[in-house]
Amino acid sequence: MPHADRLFRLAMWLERDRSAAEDLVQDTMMQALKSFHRYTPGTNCKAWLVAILHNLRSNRRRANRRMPLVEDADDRIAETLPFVPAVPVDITDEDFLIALRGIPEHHQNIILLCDVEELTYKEIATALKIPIGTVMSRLHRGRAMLRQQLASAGVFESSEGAG
Amino acid sequence: MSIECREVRQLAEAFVSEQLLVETTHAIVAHLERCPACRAEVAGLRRLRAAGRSAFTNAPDLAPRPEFLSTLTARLQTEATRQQPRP
Repeated sequence: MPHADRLFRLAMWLERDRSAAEDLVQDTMMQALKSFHRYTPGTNCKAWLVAILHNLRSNRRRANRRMPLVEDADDRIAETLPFVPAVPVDITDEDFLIALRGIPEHHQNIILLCDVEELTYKEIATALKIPIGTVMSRLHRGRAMLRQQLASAGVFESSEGAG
Repeated sequence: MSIECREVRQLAEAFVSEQLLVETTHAIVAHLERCPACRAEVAGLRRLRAAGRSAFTNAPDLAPRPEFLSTLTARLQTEATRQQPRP
């Protein structure tokens, strides 16, 4: 089944719970099947599935009142970044995942959709229902925070960076 | 078309994400050939992107259970058959 593995990995990261991730992916695929007539042939099918997944998830979070009232609070915190260190030479899978968990969720999502799932800025904006400018600014701040997390965790650029 | 370090740094993220027009991409590539500092910054951004892809593709904790995928496939097939209009 195309995209199911990738979609599950994304859901598992977001939900942090296997049972919740399985429910989310199953509901996403069932929803996609029901609304397949709305899919535009030739467009990115994975981006379309990601949009359905995020839409279902945000509806549930809103229903459970877990959605933060001020969505841009993370953005304001991120604006105070003082210094962006160089990207380390060697980043292990574990280094990356720990660092990613250390930044606000809005920024995690954008980095995952852009760098891991390789969606375009426009596809991300559509999936998350946010302006394309917000995608770009969150991506920029998210990467800067990720670099800080890696540096503060002791993942250094090189021998001179470690000194 | 000449492009300076400051512009390259501003466009570096969109460049590694392949979001720029061909002309701008060519101008950045030409700049990178003669500027080691910008080359290092772009290489760093590419490492970050590659690290993310590797971590997400390989992390065993994020992988779906094979039984989940097979059950899901079966459910979707049943649903697809049910949705097909009858002759």
